[in-house]
Amino acid sequence: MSADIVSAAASTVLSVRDLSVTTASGAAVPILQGVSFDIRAGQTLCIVGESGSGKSVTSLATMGLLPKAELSVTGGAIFLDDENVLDASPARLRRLRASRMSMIFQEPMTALNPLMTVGRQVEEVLCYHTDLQAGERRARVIAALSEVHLPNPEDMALRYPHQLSGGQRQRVMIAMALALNPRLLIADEPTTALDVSTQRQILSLIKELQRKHETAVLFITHDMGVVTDIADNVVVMRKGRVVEHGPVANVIQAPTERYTRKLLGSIPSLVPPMPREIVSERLALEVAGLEKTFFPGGNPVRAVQDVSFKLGTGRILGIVGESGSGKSTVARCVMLLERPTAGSLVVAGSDVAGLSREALRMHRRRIQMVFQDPNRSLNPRRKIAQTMIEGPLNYGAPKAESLRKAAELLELVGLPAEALSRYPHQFSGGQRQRIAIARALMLDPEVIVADEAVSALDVSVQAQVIRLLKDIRERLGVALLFITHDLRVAAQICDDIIVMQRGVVVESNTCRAVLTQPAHTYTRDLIEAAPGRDLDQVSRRWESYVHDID
Amino acid sequence: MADLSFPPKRPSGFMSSLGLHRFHWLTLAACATMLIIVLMALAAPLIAPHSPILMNPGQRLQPMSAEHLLGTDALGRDLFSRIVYGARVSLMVGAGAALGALIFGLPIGLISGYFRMLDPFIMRVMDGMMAIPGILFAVALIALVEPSVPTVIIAITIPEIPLVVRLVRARLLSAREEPFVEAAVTMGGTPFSILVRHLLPATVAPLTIQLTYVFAAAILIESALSFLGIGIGAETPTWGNIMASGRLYFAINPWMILWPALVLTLCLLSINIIGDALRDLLDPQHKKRGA
Amino acid sequence: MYGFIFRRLLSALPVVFIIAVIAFLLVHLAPGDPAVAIAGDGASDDQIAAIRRSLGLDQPLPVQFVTWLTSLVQGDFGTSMISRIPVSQLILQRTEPTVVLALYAMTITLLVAVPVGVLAAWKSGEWVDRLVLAMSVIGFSMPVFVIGYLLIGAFGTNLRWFAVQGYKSPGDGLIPFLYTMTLPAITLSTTYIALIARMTRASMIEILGEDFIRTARAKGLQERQVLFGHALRNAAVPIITVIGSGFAMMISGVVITESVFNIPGIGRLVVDAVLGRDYPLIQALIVLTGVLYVAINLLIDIAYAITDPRIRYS
Repeated sequence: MSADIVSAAASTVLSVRDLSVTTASGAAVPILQGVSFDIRAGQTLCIVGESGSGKSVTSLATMGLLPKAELSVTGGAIFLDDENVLDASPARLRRLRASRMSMIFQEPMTALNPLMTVGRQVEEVLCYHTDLQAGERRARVIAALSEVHLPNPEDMALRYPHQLSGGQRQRVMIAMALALNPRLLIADEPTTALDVSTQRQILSLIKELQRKHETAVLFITHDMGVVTDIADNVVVMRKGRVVEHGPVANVIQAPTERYTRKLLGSIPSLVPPMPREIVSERLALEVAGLEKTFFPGGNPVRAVQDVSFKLGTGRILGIVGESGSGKSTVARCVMLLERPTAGSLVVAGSDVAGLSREALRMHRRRIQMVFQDPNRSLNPRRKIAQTMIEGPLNYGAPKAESLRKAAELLELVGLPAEALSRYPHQFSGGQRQRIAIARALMLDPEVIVADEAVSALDVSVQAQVIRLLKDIRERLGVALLFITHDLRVAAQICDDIIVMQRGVVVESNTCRAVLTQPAHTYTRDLIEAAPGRDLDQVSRRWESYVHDID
Repeated sequence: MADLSFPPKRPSGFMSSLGLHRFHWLTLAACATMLIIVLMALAAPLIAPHSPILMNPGQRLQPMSAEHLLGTDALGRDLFSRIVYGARVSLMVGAGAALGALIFGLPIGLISGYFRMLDPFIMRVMDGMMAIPGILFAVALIALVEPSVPTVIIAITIPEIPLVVRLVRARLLSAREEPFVEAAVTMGGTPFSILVRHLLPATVAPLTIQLTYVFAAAILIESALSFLGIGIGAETPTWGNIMASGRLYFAINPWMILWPALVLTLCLLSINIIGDALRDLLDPQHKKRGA
Repeated sequence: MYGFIFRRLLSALPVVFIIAVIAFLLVHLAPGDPAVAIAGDGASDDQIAAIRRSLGLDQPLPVQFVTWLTSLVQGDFGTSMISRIPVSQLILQRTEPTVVLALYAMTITLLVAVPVGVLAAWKSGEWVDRLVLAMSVIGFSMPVFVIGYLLIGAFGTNLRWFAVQGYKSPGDGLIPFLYTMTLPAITLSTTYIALIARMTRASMIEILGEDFIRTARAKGLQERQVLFGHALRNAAVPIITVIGSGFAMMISGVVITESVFNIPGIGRLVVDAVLGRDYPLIQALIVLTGVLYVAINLLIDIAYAITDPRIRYS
């Protein structure tokens, strides 16, 4: 975009000067320190950072929505068209919201009132901020809903949030935010909870409306890909401070700070590395004709239909798909956490069908799982040692030997043996996932199933865990079934890929083939929709910075 | 940062909303009060200056004095001594009901949560029991058998059981959905080992909290039954009985009702404050927010 | 939607059946022979046998149960053993004072508890909130009869603002009604106010932490609209549920309040029935209150389903 030409003419809409925020109670822990940036009309500024960077706090402070009992502004100013919103009275702030600045949030599922029609929720903005009559308001609501390209806006207005898809709800949020043509739109991770194809549509909608109304957009994200796709300027934040700030081209192409380089280097490339040779002909897992039908409320839903694949020892097979594709159900069926409706399952040469209860228990040690959310997959009440040796004890291993093994495996995943005597809450998210991986290895399984195992992690941590998994495969020769929605992650870790859509396998090939010559249109769409297509060169350049320690 | 929600989520308990934790003075005061009441019950013969049951017609309806700290009742019995002895019945009933609710509620809740075949039947029975007001059930049962401390405990315990059953079952069902329980399954855990290692520990905290409330409720119902004259026989000094015997003389000497009422209320208040403090300390949601 | 109501009705049936079983077994399995108890001390064996026959107690238990349940379904609750009047008639005579008292108390409860709970949640952590919480813990810890006597002492005996016993229906005129029934109604509602204020607060605090409340604030709505337009409706479900499950608690309160204030309602009937060991009356009262509890909770569930589009449209 020709950002320079626009900015030269446009006025500054938002100017944040030296903003500082601390915790309100107890010792004043600094949350934001001296944050400054400007946004001009018609421009998009992205604040990018990992969790704990303070990016959301910045946006909430601008809206005057900081939780007062927890956080307080201790210095600086926030000018919205020359008016310092930090000095505005509560009544004035309420006037400014929606009319001059508005905000959309991450979770479209929960951001709308479930007991009110979406039309009514849009109308509320007009009720409070304008003197329009009921008829005019209705017309404006319909116009707002059609501006965000919702089909049948008259009908949509009468619906309740639960009757809309995630993407539709986010469109309603945008319609509501832009109903009064505000000067500033704050978007706090608005696409993070959405599938890539929906994300792409929402991003292009925001761009379209921004161009139409000359809106300034403050866009909060953790995703460098999204940044390259929509930003004019970037602010990189870390631990409450601005690390680097500048036009997107400069920051992405020529980052000067180590942290920015680390962030960029951590982004998994969409181009897979050269394929590995097949070292063993042995099959660790063979799935044929897998079916799973659920009966929610009595009606059959075929979550998985006729899925077949083979996973060789020492190989990594990715199952890729959007939400509702059935990929997680496949994982749970393979683990026998769900009983498949039909199909055969052969693990390390032995058929799982018809196993007795005890035989099934004995079988389970051959195939272990790493779950998505390490906060919930480790029992918070049990020490790491107890969690680690639980499996071996179940199979009668001596305790001392199991503890020794636990210490070894913790070392393998990069944690000190002292970790054994701690509780899960004493570790960071990335460390917990390492522990979960170590736990899965305790039983020397033939196969590890990783269900979105890196999706909840920050991108720099994610890169490290991916490396760890590849390393473990290399050293232990274990086979890995890797479930993910993220094509970039899949590209970096998988040897082979299966693409699933609505319970069916649409494509299955080597990783390289799927990503470079996709055969199915759905796969092509997915690759097309992945944000930040031109990042690959950049990310490769800074790969070595991934190992930077905080 | 994305999960920043506002206004701040606060634990629902009374204690932590005062902004203080573990050893707040109110909790300490409540613990001290309970300690005094327990000592009062244990050492009643040493503390009470008079016999709680000895009638003394010459000393009827005496005001407060050095001889009779809180005065005497219509039969000339020393009010202070009766209140001291009354603590015995109240604490016995409270502890008995809490223990009984645990002994019956926990296994039934575990069975209901674990053996899904039996669950609908057990839960319908529990629903039926919940539908009958506790006091009505207790009253009816006592009407049929001679009222005594054990029968009163049983009569009060039975209506409390469904609450414990439902709590244990609900905790079990939600704990079963946790990924760490699924992880235990994939690690070859047997149903029994999973129950002991993962599911039972999850019920300890809510159960402890619930049982303090059962304790308080039992004391309350016992005193109400005694007050209505359908509880433990009038010859046994209980706080409810003392108040019942003061009813006729309320206009002349309200203290005959107010003193036992004060002790009873303080006792219940202390237990409830301790229960709230426990909730703040043990509630996992609260813990999660604090972490 | 109709499916939901139908299913819910269907699931209530076994509960009602179990209530009947409990009421029946309570009398028949409890140690102690009703016939002996009825006959009283010093009755001869022949007298006891006669009583047993007249009550059908010589039949096998299942037969007795079926006989009893059949007449129950036909609205025949038997005859009181003390007053020799049909139980249904006896209960009907006593219904009005209790219903009037309960409705008056419920009105006071809702008028006080909900606004106070909302205020506490809104000012969460501030002194108003602490005051509300402290009051609610104290209110919850005070036995109903203690509250009753405190009120009688303060407003009846000393200030003489209100009557301290008896019953007046609203039909006797508003002033006499308020004069007589206000103290009992406050007595009965105190525990309830404490409970519901606390539940309202907890539920509101949870809802006020939801994303859509942040959305409402981001739209520039006033706090009043945020609290009452968006939050309270969403917070209502647990509050209403507590009102329903608190019904059993209210019955206990009614028994005591009527006794303290000498009101001739169902609560007094319960005490009289127990003191007189009037088994048919006790059974009838258990079954009726149990069924009423189930019915109230059923209505609450259905009302909730009607107002919640997520259930309405599924």
